[in-house]
Amino acid sequence: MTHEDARLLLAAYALGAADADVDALEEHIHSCDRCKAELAGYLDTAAMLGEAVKTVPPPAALRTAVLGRIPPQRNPFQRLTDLFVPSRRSSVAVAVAMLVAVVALAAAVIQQQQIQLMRSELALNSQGLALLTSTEVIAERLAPVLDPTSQAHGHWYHRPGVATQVVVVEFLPPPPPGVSYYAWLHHENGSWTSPGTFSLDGTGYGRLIILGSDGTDVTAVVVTRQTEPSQAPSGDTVLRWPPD
Amino acid sequence: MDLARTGLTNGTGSALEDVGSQPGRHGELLRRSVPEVPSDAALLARARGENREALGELYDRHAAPAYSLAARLVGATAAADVVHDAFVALLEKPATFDPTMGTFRSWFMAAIHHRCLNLLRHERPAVGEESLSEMPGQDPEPVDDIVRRLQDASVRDALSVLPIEQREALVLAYYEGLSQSAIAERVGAPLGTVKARMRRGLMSLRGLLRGEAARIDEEATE
Repeated sequence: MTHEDARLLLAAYALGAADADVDALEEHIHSCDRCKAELAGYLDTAAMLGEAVKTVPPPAALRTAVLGRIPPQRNPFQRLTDLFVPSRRSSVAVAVAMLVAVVALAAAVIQQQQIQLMRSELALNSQGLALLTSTEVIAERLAPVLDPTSQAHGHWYHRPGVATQVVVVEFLPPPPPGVSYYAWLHHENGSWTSPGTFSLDGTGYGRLIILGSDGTDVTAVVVTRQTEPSQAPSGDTVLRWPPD
Repeated sequence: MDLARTGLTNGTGSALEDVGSQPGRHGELLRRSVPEVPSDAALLARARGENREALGELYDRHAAPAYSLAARLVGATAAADVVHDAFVALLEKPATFDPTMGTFRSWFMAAIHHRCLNLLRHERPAVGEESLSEMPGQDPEPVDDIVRRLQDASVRDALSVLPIEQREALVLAYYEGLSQSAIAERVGAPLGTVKARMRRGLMSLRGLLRGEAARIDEEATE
């Protein structure tokens, strides 16, 4: 089938009206990007015809039947309940049930703790987001120190009057075993504080959100590689602002 | 100073996950902070991995128009089977949807339409698809009545401004399930003319529905 022959058939094909050379047409479409694109347009329009008919709500049972093709994820508590049906109420079953109950209870407690942790993180992230999306946020660049040609860099975000600061690092290489990247803030009174260490993802990206201060007393921000916490930066300085 | 350490949510889809290092990217950050709606293709992939929730969302997006179309073509009882089988095929035949051929919605509606036509045609094997319009008791509804009964006013209006020959070709094909040969026979026009009417009709309809200043081609003379 030639390309022109195929093009003449595409509309009929999209409307379900092609009754000859369909196999040849489909074979051509498969290998012809122009016909694919043209057919996509026809199918889109044909779908509008389909959606134009009077709306008839599908029966509720249809949804159940369709979703029934995938087995539901069973609730662990349901398994526990299953063990208590009369036919299984043997001492072994009861013992197993109790064991399962303990495990399930522990899982529920852990899950609750995880939910609480996620809520806390979400609240924290929301505050960081509010700062970063502010039009008046100030971004100071943390430049690489050890290797000035490195892609590694960071930013310290702050805004006077907003008691949130964010330190973001990017393209940091994975630290050696036992070593972590520490963020440090240097204050006008000469003291240092560290908001913590970065957890990097696979691209070397990490962030810290600092609450409670707008950073107006901060005179320098550095990122170091250290093996243990300290009162002041103690390892190699990897990134810093302002530059030396 | 209260210092809070984070970095715990990297890679978990949290609001700050996509924080960029450039101030100019804050607008992007804001946009990305809105929970993303999974695409149909993503839902389909998850449903194929036995994710029931994903299948449920895919169903909720597309079942109603699919069922409505099927009910119009083959009746409510058969429509349920058609839609059910179409969703099952989605799960069991991974290669069925090709994103290069348009949106999932248009592809799925075409699949529903195709299944309905197959059903109609196989129910009348002795007659053959070419003769659907000639079935006893199957007097086709007048084309303009079909158009008038459409619920979507924009489609109804767009069809109404097409030349009658194009409108007839589209309506007989899509809503009555007639093949191009059957349409040619019914309207007494050469097959090539019917093909051209369908092509021009779909192109014009597309332009009209997209709000473009569509050029309504006059009847092709062959």
